[in-house]
Formats: sequence, C-alpha cells, structure tokens
Amino acid sequence: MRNDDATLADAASLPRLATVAYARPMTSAPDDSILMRQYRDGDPAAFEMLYRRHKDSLYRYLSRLSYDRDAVDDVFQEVWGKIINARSTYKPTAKFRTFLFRVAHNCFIDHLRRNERHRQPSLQDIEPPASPGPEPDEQAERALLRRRLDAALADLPEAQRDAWLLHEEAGLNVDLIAQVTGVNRETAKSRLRYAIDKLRAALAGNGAEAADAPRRAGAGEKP
Amino acid sequence: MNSPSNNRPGDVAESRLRDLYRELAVETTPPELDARILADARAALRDRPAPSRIWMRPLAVAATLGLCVALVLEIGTGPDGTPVIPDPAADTREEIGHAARESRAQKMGESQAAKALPATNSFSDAVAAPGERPARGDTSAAGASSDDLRERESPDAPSDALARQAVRPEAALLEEAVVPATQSGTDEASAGKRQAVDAVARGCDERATRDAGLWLDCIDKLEAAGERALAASERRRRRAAFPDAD
Repeated sequence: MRNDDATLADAASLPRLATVAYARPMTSAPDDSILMRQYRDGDPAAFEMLYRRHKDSLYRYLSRLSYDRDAVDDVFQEVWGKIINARSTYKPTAKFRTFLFRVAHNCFIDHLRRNERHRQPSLQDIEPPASPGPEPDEQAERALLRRRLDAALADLPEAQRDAWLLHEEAGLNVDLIAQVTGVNRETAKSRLRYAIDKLRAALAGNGAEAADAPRRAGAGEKP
Repeated sequence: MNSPSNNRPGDVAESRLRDLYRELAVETTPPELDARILADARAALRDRPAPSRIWMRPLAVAATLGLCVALVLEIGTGPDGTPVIPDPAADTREEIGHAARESRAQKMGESQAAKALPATNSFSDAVAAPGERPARGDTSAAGASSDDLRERESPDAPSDALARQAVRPEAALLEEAVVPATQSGTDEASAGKRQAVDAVARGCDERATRDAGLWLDCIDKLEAAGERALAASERRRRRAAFPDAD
C-alpha cells in the first residue's frame, strides 16, 4: 500500500506531457464560436483551427468508449460531419466543446444501437505508446500503472466510463455531463464518483477502496 | 459533499489519477482521418448555396407581395362593390391618338392643325378623322367661302394628303386596337358623342346648312368646342346663305 502511494507520488512529480487532456486555448486564439462562424462564412482555415483544437481529446474520448479502432474512426468522422453540416444552424448558446461532445455522445449511442455486437474493450486494442523521459525502471513502473489504469477504465460500466471521460477529456463539470448524457445532475455526479473511486482503487492495487465507494457515495447511488 | 472537487482526502489521489491518465491518453488521430475530414469540410463549403441565392428568397417573396398589393390597389372597386379592372387599351388608344394628332399637326402646320383637329384627346377622334373624309368633301361641295376651310377640306390639298399619309399607319394600328372596345356594345353613348365631335371637327354638314336655325346651333357648338375660327367661317357662310335670317 505504501509502495503504491509512493508510486502515485512519483507519477505526480513527473513533468506533465505536452499532450494534456484538455489544453486551454491561448488568449490570442479566437473563440470556438467565432471560428465556427468564420467557417460558416466560408473560411476553411477556421474549421481547420477548430478541428486541430479539439480532435485529439475527442478521439481519445471515443477511443476509450469503444476500444474498436474502426468504430472509433467511423464515429469520429460522423461527429465531424455533423459539425460541418450544423455550421449554418449553430448558435453559440453553449460552449462549442459541450456541443461537440454531446454530438459525439449521441453518435456513439447510435453506433452502439446499430452494432449490437459491440465488443468489450481489451488491452490489446489500444496499446499506449511509451513516453520518453523517465529512467528504464521508472518507465517500466509507469507503464505498469498505465496498463492498470487502462484496464480499470475498460472495466468500468459504460455510463461511468462515459462520465469520467467527459470529465477528463472534455473538461465538463457535473452539470454539463448531466446535460450531455441526458441524465439528471445527481445521476451524473454519482457516476463520476463511482468511476473515480474504482480507478483509484485499481491504481492502489486492491479493490478495498472501490468496495467502500458505494457506502461513501450515498444510499441513492448505484455502482 | 460527494462532488469530486469537495472530497479533500481524495483530492491528491484524484490529481495523481488525472496525471497518470494524461500520460496514458496520448492517442492522436491518424493523419489520413484528419485529411479526410478537412477535405469534407472544404467540400461542404464548395457545395453551399451562394449568398446571393440565400438573399434571393426573401427578395422574391417581397416582390411577389408588393406585386399583389399593387394589383389589388389597381383593380379597385366599382360603385356597386364589384372589382373594376382598368382597361389598358384605353390608355393605349389615348396615347396613340395623341401621337397621331401630333404627327398631323407637324405635317399640316401648326395653325392649320389647330383649325382642323378638335381639342380632344380621345383615341376615337384620331381613328374617325381619316374615315370621315368624304363628308368633308360634301361640306366643301356645299359652297364654302372660306379659303382656309376650302384648303383644309379639299381632297387634293397637298397638306391634307400629307396628313392622311402621316395618320394612316397609326390609324391602322388604332383600328386593330379599337375593335374589341367598339364590339363590346356598351359604348353607344360615347359613339354618339364621337359623332357630334366629328361634326364639329369638320364644320356644319349639309343638313345643318339647309336650315338657318340648325346652322346657328352648329355654329354655337363649334364655338363651344373652341373652334372659333371655324365658327366665324361658318357664320360668314350662314350670313351669305341666309342674309335675312338675323
């Protein structure tokens, strides 16, 4: 247990990689809604900027929802196709990122309905690339942690994984997660709480923390 | 309380979890997928309707509405409430008649045209004038003493021949235009009026010149129509024919 905590502490002390989950845009960069408007008015460069700003987080979100590379590519392309088609009707009433991930969530649900033989994720589907920097021992240790985290993510119930990924990749809070997934706030909060507890337990190396999660989360929440 | 951000003991672990996940989640889109989507985005811009077409719709609707309103206002209503459609041929007749008179005036000279043509604007005058030439000849045959009248009424007068030539093409057009209006059978009153004005235009006819009273009435009509020179000429003729009438 102490060893695991030390490992987590080491993980936190490592320099953050450039590929953060949801990088904040630069202050000088135009807003998403402005880019969308420029694209609607016929500027393809605005769409390219918008696309490059959000593509990776969306791709990771879909990758960990499906774990099927072909399906991920299809849904990813479908999502952006819908964004392209919605350029004339898009109104910046909400953040573009929220809009984008709501479209992605709905497209993924539609994809599941179309393909009922949605296979369960496995670690062979997506192999995380090795990150340069740490020493070989540390590298091996962090690779082990990443594998454990990936396995824990894959084991999460789909709704909880969805809530966690929306929180991490899209940077949505509980209210927006509820809005995107079409559930009430308490349900969204409960799903996120369970997901976090299970992932923490998986990284700690035992299931005790995950087993305690329902008791801490409250009587109305289900794992 | 159960919010992820409020769980203070778990905050550190949650932060570590997030950091580890960021290390883990480094997948990026395949370049071919990027190229495909960006190409789709460009293609969508090429396929979009032109802005002018977008603005054409409200413009077309506005133009249609304006046309409808103008048509309704133009139709108007008659005294009994029935819709009255204006006769565009009437305007055409008037314009052509006016043109015919102007043409004749140019050919005959300003002073003679003022005498020869009535001061009316109706199309029927312009149409009827060439057709009534024999009657003028009759008037001339009755022994007109006025030189100007003789000159005007003589069928061989060069100025009159020119005037007829000038009027003829317009009259041909006018006859075609007038046929539907005269065939309607509802314009008898205007036809009578036209005959009266024609009589005034060519002076007093043979029947009027046989009776001193009728001739005087005719002269009065000429004066009332503003044909003072013609009326004076007729008056001189009347005095010559009936020296004791007054």
